[in-house]
Amino acid sequence: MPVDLTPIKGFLPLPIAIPAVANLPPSTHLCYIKPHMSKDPSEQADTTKSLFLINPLPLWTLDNVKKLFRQVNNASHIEKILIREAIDTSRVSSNGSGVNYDLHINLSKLTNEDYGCELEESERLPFGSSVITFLDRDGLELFLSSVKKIKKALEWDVTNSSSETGLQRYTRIPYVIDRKVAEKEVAKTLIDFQQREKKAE
Amino acid sequence: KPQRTKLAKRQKLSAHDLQVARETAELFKSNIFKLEIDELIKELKLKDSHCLLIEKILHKLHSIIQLIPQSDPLAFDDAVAYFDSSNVSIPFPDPKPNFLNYPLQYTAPDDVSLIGSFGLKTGIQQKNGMSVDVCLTMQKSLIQQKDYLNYRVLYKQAFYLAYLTHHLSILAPQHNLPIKLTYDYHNGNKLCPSLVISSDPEASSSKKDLLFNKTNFSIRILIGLPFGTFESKKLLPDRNCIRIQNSSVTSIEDLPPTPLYNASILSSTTYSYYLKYLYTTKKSTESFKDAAALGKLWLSQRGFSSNVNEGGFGHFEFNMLMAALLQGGGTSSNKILLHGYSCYQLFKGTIRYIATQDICDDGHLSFSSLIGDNKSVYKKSGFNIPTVFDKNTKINLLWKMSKSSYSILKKYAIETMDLLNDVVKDRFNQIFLTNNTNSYLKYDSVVSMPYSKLIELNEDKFGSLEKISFVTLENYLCNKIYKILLEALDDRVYQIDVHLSQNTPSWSTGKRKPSNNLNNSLHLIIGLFFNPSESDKRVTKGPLHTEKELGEKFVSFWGDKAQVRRYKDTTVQWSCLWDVSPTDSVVLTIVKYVLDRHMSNSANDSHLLSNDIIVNSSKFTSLLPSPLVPHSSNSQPLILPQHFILLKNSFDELAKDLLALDLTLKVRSLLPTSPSLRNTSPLLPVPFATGNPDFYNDCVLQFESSSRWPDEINALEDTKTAFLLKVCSELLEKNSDEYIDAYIVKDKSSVPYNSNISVLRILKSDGYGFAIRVITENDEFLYLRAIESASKATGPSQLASVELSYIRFMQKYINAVKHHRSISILATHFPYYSATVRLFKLWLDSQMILNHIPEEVVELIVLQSFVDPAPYGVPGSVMAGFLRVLSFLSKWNWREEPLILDLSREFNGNYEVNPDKESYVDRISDRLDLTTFQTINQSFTKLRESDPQGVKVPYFIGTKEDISGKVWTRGISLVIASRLTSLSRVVLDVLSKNGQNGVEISDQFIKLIFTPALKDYDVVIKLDSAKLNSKKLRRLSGVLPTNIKFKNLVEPLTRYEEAEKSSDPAINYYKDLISRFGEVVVWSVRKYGGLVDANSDRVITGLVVPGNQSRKFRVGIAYPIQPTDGGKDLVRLDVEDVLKNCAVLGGDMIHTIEQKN
Repeated sequence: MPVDLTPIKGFLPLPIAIPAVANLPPSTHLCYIKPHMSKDPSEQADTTKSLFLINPLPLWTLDNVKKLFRQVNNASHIEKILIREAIDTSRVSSNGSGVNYDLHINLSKLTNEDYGCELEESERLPFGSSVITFLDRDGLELFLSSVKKIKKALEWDVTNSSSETGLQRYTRIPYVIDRKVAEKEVAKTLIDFQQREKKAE
Repeated sequence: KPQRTKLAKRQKLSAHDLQVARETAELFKSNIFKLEIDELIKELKLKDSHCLLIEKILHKLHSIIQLIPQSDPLAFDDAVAYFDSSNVSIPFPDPKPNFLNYPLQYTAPDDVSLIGSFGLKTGIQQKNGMSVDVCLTMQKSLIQQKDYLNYRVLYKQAFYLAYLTHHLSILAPQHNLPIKLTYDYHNGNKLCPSLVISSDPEASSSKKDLLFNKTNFSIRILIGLPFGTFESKKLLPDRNCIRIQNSSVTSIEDLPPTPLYNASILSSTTYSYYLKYLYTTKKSTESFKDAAALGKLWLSQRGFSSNVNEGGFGHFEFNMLMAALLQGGGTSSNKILLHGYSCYQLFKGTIRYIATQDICDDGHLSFSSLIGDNKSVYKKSGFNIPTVFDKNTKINLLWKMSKSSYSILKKYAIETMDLLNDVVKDRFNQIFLTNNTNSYLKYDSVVSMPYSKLIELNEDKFGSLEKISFVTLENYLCNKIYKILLEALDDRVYQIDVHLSQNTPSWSTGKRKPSNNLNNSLHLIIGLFFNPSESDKRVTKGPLHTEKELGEKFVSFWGDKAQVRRYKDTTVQWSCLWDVSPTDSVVLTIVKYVLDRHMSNSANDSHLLSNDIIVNSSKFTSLLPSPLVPHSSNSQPLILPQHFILLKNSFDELAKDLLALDLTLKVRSLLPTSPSLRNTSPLLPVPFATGNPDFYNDCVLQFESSSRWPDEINALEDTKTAFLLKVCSELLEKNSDEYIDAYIVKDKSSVPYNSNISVLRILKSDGYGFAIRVITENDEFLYLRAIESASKATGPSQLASVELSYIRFMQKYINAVKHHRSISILATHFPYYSATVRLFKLWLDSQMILNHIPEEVVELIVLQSFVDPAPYGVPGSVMAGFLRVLSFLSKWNWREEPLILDLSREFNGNYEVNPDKESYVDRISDRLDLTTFQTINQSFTKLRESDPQGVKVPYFIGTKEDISGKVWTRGISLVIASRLTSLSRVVLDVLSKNGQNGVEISDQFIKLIFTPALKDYDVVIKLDSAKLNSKKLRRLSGVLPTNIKFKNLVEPLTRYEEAEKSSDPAINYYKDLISRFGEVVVWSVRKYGGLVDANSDRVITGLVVPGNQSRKFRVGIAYPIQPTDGGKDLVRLDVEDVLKNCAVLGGDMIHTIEQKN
């Protein structure tokens, strides 16, 4: 099947073929890409070697993305990826949406403007998007020029060990915290608290 | 000066207004109530066009009757032979005569007159049509003085009726009146056959024919006797008028009285007489007619009519009572009703009289129908049967009523009084508009048995003496069963209703009486109204061991079950001890036992009635899953199984241990919020059942007060986590015997934008699990500060989202605690609440709806049927509760009506048999007052102004604790709310079509209502059942396996399974799907995977949310998209891609994914 790569609002479609699975026929998923231009001045340096992508697939891990992008061009090396999936976990506890996908809300800052912590880098991305950073600018440019020439959809292969699916993925109890690690992490907060208590006494 | 005039004007106006308002309040309760009554009466009115047509028909009929020739006096054989060539039989009542030594004759009637409600012009529109009663009074010359004895007059009337029928059938068609004639027992009285005339369009051959089939009217002809034909004294209720030979009786004086026979004969002399009496009363009382209409509607909505099988109290009896009360009725002849009363006052006064005056055991109403006599007085001596005695005619007007039907009428009257006195809510609907005749909803439990079987076992006991006292076998059986049950059940039930599943139908005029074959399809129905606080007691106590005579009586009644027992207070009493069962109420065990003992041939096991008894309520209770526990501890009572108590004890221990911990801050309290701890979880809590989705019981932990909590949300959560870790290690170290393990999980779903919340999960060695979260003084403050900051911040408004975080926080930490507190108190107050909620949740789950509605909402909806049960009582069984909840949901127009619940504990105070049993505190606890009610109503109005369709908040459930009405219902999907309404309707619809009212509900039907309709969904993901191992999940959920051969060999869970092996992957997968694609697809799954039939696939279904077909391409569209064929830069939701993603994620768990085109 020839691929249609007509850009849409400056974004280039990146077709990814998903093989037949369960009883569903093979299909094509579309991501949309364009060079990343961060509004944040501190990130300006990076923008030159990053790709902004929307509509990422689940299991969008560094490994999987590398495997995917290698199909476009072997010479463009990916350094890291950032991903902000469009996931609203608050639906699990309640009905209706809890998260507004159009906003980035920093509850920490809102509760305390002075001491609140900043959102992490990935949390500042739009929902349903990813930033793929190449080793250098050349890598990005090479990738972009090669991608325009692709004849068929890329193949999405998630059969590696890092992509947990099915039973393996869903038998785990979600979000369990390692007690030892947690103790280390939060011990300081308790000490701080105790000190404050003591002072007050 | 101008100000003063203005003021004066206003005062004048308001004074006038006040007066009008006061008058209406007095005359009609309220303005709204008056308007509602006016509207109703208008709607109930018979159509003028119908009445005109019927009048025309009646004239015609009258002239035809005049044409009927007189007969000769015929000897019995000649009389029978007269009809040889015709298709008419003489409807002789039983016993059928073989010879009569007096002639039978027809002469033109003395009088033909309209009687009944059509005659009185108080008829109302009814579903089954209007019956126009016409009385033909026989000439006095045909009757002899002695004819009141031994059915003589009844035989004469029967011949008279047959002769009339024969000639009508010939003459009517000749005179352009094509009619169909059938016999019918008037009001089910088998001594009084009547002729029913209905229009027969099929027999019509000419355009001139008069047809009235479209009016749904029928004409009933009754054969009356002239007033005063017999000396009424001789027919007093205590006289015997059927003289029979019986070996046990030596003289006539020893024969039992024949009250039914006497009243039936006397009544046939008073048809026109009472019409005149009522007509005179109607003339003198302006609102009588409207009040009569209200009364008739009120009775018919509750299944009452003059028919013996329908309580024997109908329109006529209501009107007569009202008329008697207009003459007096008080203990000193004081008038209960006044002629100037409004229809509302007349109605209410009459209902109040029924509700408050005992006219059965302690007293009776005596009045005189002689116009102008005005002697109506309540006398304090009762006859042990419901009595309104007319001194003039010597008739007890309530002769068709039984004690049983009287007690039920009284119950309805008391409940209606409560509704009429309600100053907070408008109760018009429950009083007049709600129909309460569906047996499955009406009673707490219905026991039915094939009538033919009952006859087979008891016919021989219906001897000649019984025949004359009870007239019919069914009357005898109903009475006997009622008496036995009354003695056996005592205060375990409030009322017992015994009747046949169908009224005797009308029959062909070619037969003397209806065919006996009808008995084969008949059932005897026992409707029970439970007293939930007594119904399930295990012991029936009898007389003291020392009371010999009473003891013997007790033993003879109870047989082998009677035993002497010593009690803690050292009394030694005759008692019966009953087994408890997880499916049957003790009442039903007793009913089966006594019916076997007294109504069966107990010598032969195959002749026990209980083999044929059908109890629908048990079918519903057995749907509650049995817990996986050793067989010996499995026969737990339905009402409060031990499992909940054990869990509660475990919780109390945990709370005690936490309180004793030595931490920087002391633990102040541990507040439960888990359904299992308030007895509302569908599955019973079973130790070590980690596969039960409710295994970890949510609790909120509060430390003693401190002002040092961090001032920023992340740090605050971290500090809480630190505390939880400390709690964790302390618990595990100090009480290593009691605590097996504990670990922390992050709660990323309860509060949007706060994914740093920690929850401590504790596994106790007794097999119970708890999940603890911490609340501090600072939480609410921080959320409120976030709202404040968001409102000041620039850029796109974050306010709504931050507010939502606050709302969700409040839900999880504050409202949940309050809700838990209210529900757990009410769950103990209403014994059947817990099991009802559990079954209802299971039903929702079976329909894959439970995950879409917070359990708190479900609990509140179910509560409606308990705190506001009218027109039913508080449910006394799971089936009654379950079906009434469905009935409520099917009628609840939530777009326009709020649900406002009064969660105080004073319920039906008047109605309780023993109001003293309730503590004083319970009775004075605050009820919802008018102001709060109005405030809640206002918030509903406001809500609907902004959300008229209920898109954001479909259900409004207001309580004193939640004036806003939306704490729990915000965000419920409109689709789900509508689906729930339609599903409830379907169930009730099918139920009312499923066989006869009150008879068996088939297993197949019950299975059907608990099966989801998968074809309604756009997407069905079938999971691989082999991979999911549903048998194992069932076991780990603590549910007894299905189809086990040896219940005693079931192995209970005795230790914890590895955590990973006990989670339900299907649920985790579902949660992932809703987090990812919940915005575009409404996903559904059964929460209790362990209950899914092991032979069928587990499924996750999806409904694609409409409206994502075309939008402009942009960054931030949070679902898979693809370009549309049309317009530039337009994209749409790619459903196939969504499903593909689901398939990839689900991997080996997926069997198939089906999409509806």
